[in-house]
Amino acid sequence: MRQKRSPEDYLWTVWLLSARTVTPQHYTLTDQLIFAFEEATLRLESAAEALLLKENYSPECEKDLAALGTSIEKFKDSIGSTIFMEGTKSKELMADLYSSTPAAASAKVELGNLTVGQKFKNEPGTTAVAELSGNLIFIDPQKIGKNLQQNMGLFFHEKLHNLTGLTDDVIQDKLGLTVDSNNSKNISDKLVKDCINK
Amino acid sequence: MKSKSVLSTMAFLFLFWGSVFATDFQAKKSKVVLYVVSTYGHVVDDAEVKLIRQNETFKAAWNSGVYEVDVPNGEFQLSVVSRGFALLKRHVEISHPEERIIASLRVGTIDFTSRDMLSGQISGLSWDSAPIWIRLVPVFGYQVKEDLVRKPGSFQFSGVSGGEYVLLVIKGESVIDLRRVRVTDSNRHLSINLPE
Repeated sequence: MRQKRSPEDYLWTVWLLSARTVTPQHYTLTDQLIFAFEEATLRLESAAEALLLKENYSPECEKDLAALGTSIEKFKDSIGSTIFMEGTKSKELMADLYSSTPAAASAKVELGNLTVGQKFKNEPGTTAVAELSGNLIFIDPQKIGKNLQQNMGLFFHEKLHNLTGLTDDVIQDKLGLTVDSNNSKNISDKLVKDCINK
Repeated sequence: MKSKSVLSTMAFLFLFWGSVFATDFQAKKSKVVLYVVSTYGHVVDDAEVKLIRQNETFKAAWNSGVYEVDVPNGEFQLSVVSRGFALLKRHVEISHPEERIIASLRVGTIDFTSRDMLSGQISGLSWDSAPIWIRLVPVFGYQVKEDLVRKPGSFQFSGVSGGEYVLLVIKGESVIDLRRVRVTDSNRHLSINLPE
């Protein structure tokens, strides 16, 4: 389940996507959910590739990452190990996403048996959830749009959780943003402004 | 003349000792001992603990199970950051020679959430080669938003503030549904049932 996908997997995805455009009515609801995940993953992988290929990041972006205790180089190095997961159906425990941090024991108590899938279901505004100090990014495929810039911001945001182990409110505070753990989109917006548009 | 001299000497002494006492009070330092624990009761040993006052930051050092720092007396903002935990920030007043503070951390959030998203689900659509898309037109405003409807009938917009909108469901070149919707903080998911 956590294996990195091979190049053959991507070819399979491309084949599936092209096949869907020819005869969409032949596919079941399950097929369509799989397609949605593959399509969303491709979109985020395009965003990741664009961030990897970007050569010059602005001084503001470097300052942002330094405030979080990381750097452009570390961010780029971490991109290749990313594993996307279908969040809405996931039975992975939310508490397990904290297992590499000092909050691991507290997360087990506070989050109990809450699964990632339940988290997506209970909080409809949730688009993605990232493992702290790890490689996993769980997504709701239906919420990954086509806008490359927005996807780059989303991917960057989630990778910062993977890379630094910091939670949303800490990232917001260190970036000088309004601290609001119920609305973390301002992190992505800041990253788009400082790291992607400049 | 003599009494005037005595008075001026007394005034000088009063001001001198007053300033000495004031300086002494301002310079008084306290040792702050911080216990950083999780809600589970575990000691958190890799936290970044700071006391902040205007432009001054005093960073506490880990020492045998507690964090310690020497600061001048006064009011500070305590900031505690540790991986996986939510940010802890609170006002503290330091006035005793050895001040003891307990900072209890709770688990932080790690999800990308947005309160300006509007999602929806349309049922009763017939799918053929014609694309189905949604147009969201604000009643008061100019910014029109559009999104293709994805199987099995979902759509989503970001950057939608609360208010009144006209929502059009368009298939090919025909409007197959038109309705007025009200978007609020608690109503950000629309269910649209079309007649078969």
